[in-house]
Amino acid sequence: MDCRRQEVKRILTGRLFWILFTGALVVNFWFIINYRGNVPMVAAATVLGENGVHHVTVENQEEIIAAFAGREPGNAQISVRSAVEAVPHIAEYLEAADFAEIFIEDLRLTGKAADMVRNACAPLEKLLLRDRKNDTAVSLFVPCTAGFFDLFSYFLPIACTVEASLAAVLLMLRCVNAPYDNRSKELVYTTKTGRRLNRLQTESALFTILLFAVALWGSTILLAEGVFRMGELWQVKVGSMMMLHFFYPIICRFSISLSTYMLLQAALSVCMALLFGIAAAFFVTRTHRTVTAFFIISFCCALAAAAAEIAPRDSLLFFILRFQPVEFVKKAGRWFASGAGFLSVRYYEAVFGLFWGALLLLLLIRQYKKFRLEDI
Amino acid sequence: MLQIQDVTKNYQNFVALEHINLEFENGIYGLLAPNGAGKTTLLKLITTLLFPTEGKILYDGVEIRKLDALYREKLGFLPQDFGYYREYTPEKYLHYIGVLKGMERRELQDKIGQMLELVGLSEHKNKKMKKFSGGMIQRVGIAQALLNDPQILVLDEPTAGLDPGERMRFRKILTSLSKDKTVLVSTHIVSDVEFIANHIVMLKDKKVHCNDTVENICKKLEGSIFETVVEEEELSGWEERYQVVSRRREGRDIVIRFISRNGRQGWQPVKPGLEDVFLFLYGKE
Repeated sequence: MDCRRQEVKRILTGRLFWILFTGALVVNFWFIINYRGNVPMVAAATVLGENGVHHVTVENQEEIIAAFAGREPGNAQISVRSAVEAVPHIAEYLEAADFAEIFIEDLRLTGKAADMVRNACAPLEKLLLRDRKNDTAVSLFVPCTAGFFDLFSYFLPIACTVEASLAAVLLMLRCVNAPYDNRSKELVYTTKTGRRLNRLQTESALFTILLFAVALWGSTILLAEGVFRMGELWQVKVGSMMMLHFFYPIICRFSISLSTYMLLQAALSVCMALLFGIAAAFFVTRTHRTVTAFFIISFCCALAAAAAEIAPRDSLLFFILRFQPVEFVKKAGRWFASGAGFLSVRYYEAVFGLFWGALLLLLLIRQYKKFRLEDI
Repeated sequence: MLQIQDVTKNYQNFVALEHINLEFENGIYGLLAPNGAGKTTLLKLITTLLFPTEGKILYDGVEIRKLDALYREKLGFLPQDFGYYREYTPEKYLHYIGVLKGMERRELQDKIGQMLELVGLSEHKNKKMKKFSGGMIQRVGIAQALLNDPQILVLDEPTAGLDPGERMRFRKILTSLSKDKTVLVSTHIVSDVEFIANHIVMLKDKKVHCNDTVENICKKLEGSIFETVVEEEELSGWEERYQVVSRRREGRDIVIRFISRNGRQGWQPVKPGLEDVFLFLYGKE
């Protein structure tokens, strides 16, 4: 019988997996339920969608305003009327350079780093032109809800990523180090499987991490749908809505729907969890101590976060360090260090996620080969 | 045949074993030495948990390191202190170990039943192991070591925690297995191996001190073991001068059994046992 299957079964029937999964779902449900005040606004937006109103134009402004009348949350920073009337103008006058300045201001960049962002944003002009033509630049979502879009673009992805990453580390440490933790190493490493068990356990743990992350995302989205009844709103083109989501969706850098966006976030989140799983496997194979390995991972992440924070903001090197390889670890590190800052959809994160993944995988293989020849 | 050829094991600057040469064929081998003498290191080398600093260990002429899984497939090992998943039942635990040993599902199911029967745990097969006594855990350990019908069975302190009845049953099992297997039993409890082992290997000063049958080993002490009657007040003086192996009270006097190179009048020579040899060799340690 396959050892991997047995290890997967052992993890899935263990208490840790289900405690982590239930805990994660409770936290996500708490996030979702905190936004239940927006249910009337979501319902109105859904009805508008069903009536064929998918974009904000000068002609349908009054219809949209009427549909949301009396449902606006009390804590909205801007009224529905102001937002809806402003959208067509903003869509017409917003340029790629404005995106660059928002990005530069947000990250307090200067010098060569700022210039690099301006150059990177220049090609966006063509996309803006395209989106103005096909109206995705003025997609209608749920306006003026004091952060309802944050729930999907920020809080749920953050929560799922953190929970999956934490679960990945704990499940991996627990699984791979089990022979050391429960003092069965002398017994299991003298069986036919021998030290190959370490690799089989790593693979099994990675599979369960994948299951955990996918199940967590699936359950969370189902919970959100159950509470808000989003219906067609999942198909709204959002793209880089997060740039201006504080009042309304306007410009789409990538012409993708909310569901595709969430799928991409989930994919990144799963990659992140797997990456943390591989890191945990590497450190625990090296140290054979669960707690030590956990602290080393935390320390590395905190160190990367600190290095990225204190680096000068006017150099190209800083920009590359911060927004390319280091960004990935930094974001994870922030959580370990202070509990803030997470993923957003940026294609280079996926690329450098793969870069870090490949690097860690090579280190893990090297460590595994070393383990096969070391004394127990 | 298992051969240990000029094996030395160092832990950084500490020498644990030095130039060990041994050969094991079918039969029971008792490995006797006091705690800390290197028994466990030797067993770990044989079970591939440690690798020799110098020398080779061969199985049927091939280095065990090269044989890798092919060698471990033929191995059954009961470590001195082994861990387990506390939530598992013995049946589930043996199933887990069976899978690690690469056994087929059908064969495994039959074997688990047989092993539980053999160690007297059939009635407890569905009980969680966290509720087991030390003796019961040790019996599960013996069952897992025998599960794959190993050609080489290595047992490190196998009778620890077993009651006298269980010990006797365990010895019976070992004797029945020794016909076509190499059984290596490491212990510091002499009676565990005295009557069942074909060969005794004794370690001293990190080297093999003797490797022979019980009879031949005991012969070396013939004429050196005596019994005599002493008064209670004299006992401490005797203990200072001689190595006293045992003592028993007979009325107001005490009969002592002791080791001495030369006999004297009034001392009754007795036939030496393995325990006498053990105490003669390691008494001061």
